[in-house]
This record gives sequence, structure tokens and C-alpha cells, in this order.
Amino acid sequence: MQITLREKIFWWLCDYWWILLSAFVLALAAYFSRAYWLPLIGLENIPMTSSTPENPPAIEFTDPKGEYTFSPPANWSAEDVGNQSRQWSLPNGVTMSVHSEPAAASDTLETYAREVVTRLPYDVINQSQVQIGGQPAIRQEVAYPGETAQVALGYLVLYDGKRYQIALAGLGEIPITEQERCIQEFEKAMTTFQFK
Amino acid sequence: MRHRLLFSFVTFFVLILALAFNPSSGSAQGGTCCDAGWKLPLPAGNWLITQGDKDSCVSSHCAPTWVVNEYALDIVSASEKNIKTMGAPVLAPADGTVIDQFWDGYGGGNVLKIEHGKGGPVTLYMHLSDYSVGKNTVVKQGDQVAKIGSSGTSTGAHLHVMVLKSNTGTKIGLKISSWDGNTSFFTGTKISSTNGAGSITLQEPTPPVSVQGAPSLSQPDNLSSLSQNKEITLIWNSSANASQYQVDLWGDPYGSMTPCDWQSGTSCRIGTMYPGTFSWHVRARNASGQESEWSNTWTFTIQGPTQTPPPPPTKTATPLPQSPFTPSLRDPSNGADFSQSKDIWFSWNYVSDANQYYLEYWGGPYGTLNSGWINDVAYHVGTMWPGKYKWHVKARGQNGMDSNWSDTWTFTITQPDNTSVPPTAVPPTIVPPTSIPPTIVPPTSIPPSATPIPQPGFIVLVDELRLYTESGVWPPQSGQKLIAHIKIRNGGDLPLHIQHIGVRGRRNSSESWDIGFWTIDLNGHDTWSLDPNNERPLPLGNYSFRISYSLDGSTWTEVGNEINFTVP
Repeated sequence: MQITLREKIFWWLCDYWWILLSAFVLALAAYFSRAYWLPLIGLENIPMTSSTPENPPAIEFTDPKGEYTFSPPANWSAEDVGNQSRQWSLPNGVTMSVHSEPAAASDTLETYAREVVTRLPYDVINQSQVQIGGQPAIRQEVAYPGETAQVALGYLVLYDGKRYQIALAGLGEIPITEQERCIQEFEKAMTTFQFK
Repeated sequence: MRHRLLFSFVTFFVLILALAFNPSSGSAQGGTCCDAGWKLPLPAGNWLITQGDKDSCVSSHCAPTWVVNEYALDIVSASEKNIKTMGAPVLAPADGTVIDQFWDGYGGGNVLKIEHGKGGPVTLYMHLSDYSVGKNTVVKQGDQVAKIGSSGTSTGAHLHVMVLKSNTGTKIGLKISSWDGNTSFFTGTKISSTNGAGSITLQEPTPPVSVQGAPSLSQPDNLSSLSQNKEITLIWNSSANASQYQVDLWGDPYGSMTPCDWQSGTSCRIGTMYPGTFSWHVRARNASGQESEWSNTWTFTIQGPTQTPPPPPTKTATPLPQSPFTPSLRDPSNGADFSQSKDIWFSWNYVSDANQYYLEYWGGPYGTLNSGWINDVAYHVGTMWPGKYKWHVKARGQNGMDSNWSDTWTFTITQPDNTSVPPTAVPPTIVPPTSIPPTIVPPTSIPPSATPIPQPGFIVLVDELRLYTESGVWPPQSGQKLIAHIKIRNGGDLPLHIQHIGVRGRRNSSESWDIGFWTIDLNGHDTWSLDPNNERPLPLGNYSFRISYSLDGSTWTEVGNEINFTVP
């Protein structure tokens, strides 16, 4: 009786299927634990982890003056805009900024919140008391005077003798669906905000 | 007694003289003010208006803002080689006092105001990179008060400047009729700063006039039936005090469209249309932006060719709409030679009866590119690869008709001697059309004359891949972290989905050293930039990096220059 090639393969699989299964399990385990063992054998981990683009990885940013840290998404480009301000550009042109300046002794959160929408006037369309980095803060959603479309969102904090304005601006320039995504990213970054 | 009388006379004359010779005491009331001694707040040289005032605005300058009549100007250097916009000084246009400087996190960035005379007009500057003087500083004309920047909501370094009637009460923006010898502030206009004694003429905005009712419709007649080969032009009657009209047209197979967005004419050319029943209405607005109600809605039907044979075109009593004049070109001048580092702006002259322009340019490694229909008389391209280029422009009138193409001009980008310039054999900044996903091709069932077909998306690298280190040391030393900067633009009108884009790296020709990959969606003409850090310290080795992207997640294309370096 002559054994065909197909029968040979079939018999081999029947005898040694457990080898294939073990190899598959080992390969899976090696893949998911590569961050641990690749450096041990002198190779670097290939950072394709950042290829989960819908949630770009956050990178911790520490203010050069040591006032605060937070973790913006890695695809926000940091820019130095001088005068106690730091700014990030989001891919769609929206900007996020953190500004600090000395607070006056008479400053309260309410007076500060009123001032930031008075110097260049904005209408406050929503305002609430929240916490940022464990500190009491005011959250403002603003529109151009007489309009209802939100153009910016900001958090105002008084901490350690300073006033902080953490803002997301340029929302009026992008579609509503984009706005929602930007605000979500911003709010997520705000949960990581810590004062030093 | 005589002395007291003499003293009274002298005091009276001194007061009269002081009032007569104080240029900043001019009131903004009565139409004009401050027409003596003002100069542009910029160093001597040529500058370019990238966003004109409210009467020629685009984008955010048309949007309602905090000031009544925002006659703001955005100004950049006309030649970055001669004057770099970023960091250029902002000079006091006239004597005054810096009354405020502050951070506006909601869009303005670093803001500074100068009051020119107590209670007088105020100049306001936004998006500054730095202040040069403190609050309450008294400044003389020509004193540096700040530096131009890009802080706040800004797409690049520019000076946003406006003149307010005063700093008290309702903020009213004044229209600048002339300033420092310049009399036009339309988008795309070049202006020059004398850095010497100039002048300014400002106009107080005219009070808003209400639009008297919605426009009444004229043609095609309500419930009319038209053949498919009929050229459709919607015509309506003007409304009192209206300066512009907007048309809405809807019906299958087109859905809803706004074929002639705000325009001053009282007709809108649609062209031939597919069979169906269509409805339309019109509304008006005045110079202050107040809008009327929509007009009555009229309906017409386009008959299919099988139902009604197309009748010969009939002449209507309506005079045929005239095409706008052909635009004349300005920059780059015909036959010009530029180096590869030249920041290319196309500009042409404004055509009085046109409200849109279409730039087409071709040559070098790019094939044919265009700006799409834009409201500007200038279009920024950025740096271009070496090659010989041609370009021309046509205008679209407010009645929807197009002019002829302008003359065709030529310019050349030459490759510098520097050998670090990447090879030009492969057009590095453009994705060939074959890689455009088929889903973004517009449906062919829409007749082209009914609606302009948007150009499909493609990638333009606005500036190419740049690598650097935090310390600025180059090439990087062992243990340093690498920072990559890429900036790309969707050069088409349609949205573009890029499944993965990032910086692909190799160490010692084999080991993957990718910096990261992202998924992005770019609307037409949107720009995206990225400044990722490489979190891993660089070990010794030879490295090469290049931008790599995949539209579908499987087919990868490498574009732009390859950067090679050795970590010693």
C-alpha cells in the first residue's frame, strides 16, 4: 500500500499536534512579554506601541520652572510662547495653554474668573466649581459676545500665590465632532495635572 | 489788573495751541481721526496682509468677535529672507501709553494695548511672542513695545493689529483707510513701512441699517418645468439696504447645497442639472452682517430627456451675466529664480467684480496642483522642490461666472550647492494620485456643471522631516533622546484618512528604530504637525530616518528626505 503525501502530513499532525500548540502558546507569551525580556538579551523594544493612534500615548511634561506636571497626548506639539506661558498645538490647530502669573492678595477664584472674560470680553456659557490637581478651580466654557457657540474652555486655579489659566482655545474653528474629541483629550490630560 | 489780563490771554493761547498740535487728541467721532503722524507699527520694509479687514475677510476675521466691526489686520513679512516675522519688533505707531498687557488663554495669546492720548484711540496687538515694555509705560512713536509671535490661536507668526475707537464702553473697531502711505488693506496686499513719519486715516463704522425684508424671487418661475440641457441661473430681486445674498438649493440627486454663498449679485449660475424637482430660496444681509428672513421657496422641475425632448435654448429677457475680468499676476514675478529655501507665496491683483480665485501651478516634480476656489488674492505654498514652474489664475464673479485664465507666468526653483539637499528624482512631497483611496472620488453621477467637483486629497509635506535633540547638539551623542518634527498638509479639498503616519527609523541598517505612528484625519487643506520625543536614549550606531505612511494600513510609502547620522 502506497502512502500519499497528504496522508503523511495528516499522520504527522495527529502525532505531533501538541508541538504546534506549545509553540503557538510560547510565541504568544513571548510577544506579550517582550518588554521584559528583549532588554535582557541586549535588544531594544521596538516601540510600535505608539501605533494605537486613536489614543496617542501621553508623555509627561514637567514645567521647566517646576510649577506643575501633566501628561498631554504625544501628538500635541509644545511651543514656547514666553511670558510665563506654555502652549501646545493640537493636530487640528486647536491650542492648549498653561499660563501662570503672580496673584494679588485680593484675588479670589470668582474675581479671577471675571477678569479673564473681561479684558478681551467673552460670554461665559457655562461655569462650574471643580478641582484641578487637588486644588479648587473654576471651569469656564466661553463664547464670543452675543454668540452661543463655544470657542474655548478653561480652568482657573489660585495656588501658591499664583494664578493659573489652563485653556483650550480655537474650538470655534473646527467641526463639532472634532471639538468633542479635543475636549475629551483635554479633560483626560487635566486628570493628570499636578502642582509641584 | 493789566498783568492778570495778559496772563489770561497767554493761558488761553497756550491751551488753544496745545489742542491744535496734539495729534492724539483727535476724536474718533465724526468719521475720521488721528490723521497725522501715525506710522505702521513695524520696522521699515515690505509686509504682506495675510488677512485683510472686515471688508475682505476670510476665516476667523469674518467671525463675530468681541469688538463691534473687527477691522483687524494680520500682517507677515513679505520676505522672510529680509525680515523674519517671528520675533520682529512691534513699534508704537504714535505716542501713547501701554495701558494693558496680558495673556488671553482663550485665543489672543500675549496681548498688548497702547492708548494714544487719554481717552483716545487704542491700538491692540495679539499673538505676541514677548513684551518689550511694562504696563503703564509711556512710549514714543517708534519705540519697541513687543515682538511678533504666534501665541494663542494662530497658524503661524504674524501681527494681529486693530485700532479701537477708545478703551472705554463698547469696543468699536475703526476701519483703516490709509496708514503710512498705504491705502489698501485687502488680503494679499503688500504694504510698506517707512519707519518714518507716516499718517493714518480711520473711519468710524456706519451705523447698521436693517435689511428691508427678504428678497423676492424672479427666475426660474415657480413650478416651471425645464429641459435637462437648459442652463439654470437663479435670479431674484434686490432688497433695500442689502449688500449680499445667499442661495439655498435642494432636491435629489444633489441633496442640499449653497451654490452661491454670500455674494453681492442678484443671480446665481448653476449650469445644467440632472432631472428632478428642486427648491430654492434666497436671503439677504446688509453691510453690518444683519440677515433677512429667507424668501419664499420656489420650485422647478428638470425633465429627463426621454420624457421631453430638449427644446432649443430660449433667450430670456434677463441680460446675460458677465464674466469677471481676468486677474493679473503679481508674485512670483515672471521669470524669477529662487533658491529652494524661498517661502513661496503666489499673489495676484484683486478683480473688482470677483469674489473667488483659482490658482493652478505645475512643473517640477509635482504635476499639476491648485488652490481650489479661495477668497484670497494670495496663496501660500511654502518651500518647493527644484524645478521650473508655471502658474496662472482665474477669477469667479459674484454671479458664478468664471473669467479666462490669466497670462501664464514662470519661475524657477534652483537647487542650492549644498549637498545635503535630498535627491529630486522622486517627488517627495506629493503622494501620487494612484494611492488615493477610491472612496474619496466624488460620485460620477453628479453632472460637473451643477456643483464644482472637489479635488481629491493628497499629502503635501509643508516642511519636511527635521530631527534634533533637546540640547541642540547634532549629531546626537550617546544617551541623548531624539526629537522629530514633521508637518504635513492635505493639499486637496476632500478629507484624507491616513491610517498610519510617522517616522520610520533604522539603526545599523537593520534594527527598527521607529519614533511612532499615528492615525490622522485631515480635512481639505488642513495641516498636521507632530513633535514626538523618542523616549529611548540613543546607543552608538548608524541611524537613518524617513517619513513613512500608509493610507490603508497595509501599503507603505516613504516620502521626504532621508536623514542619516552616526552616534559616535
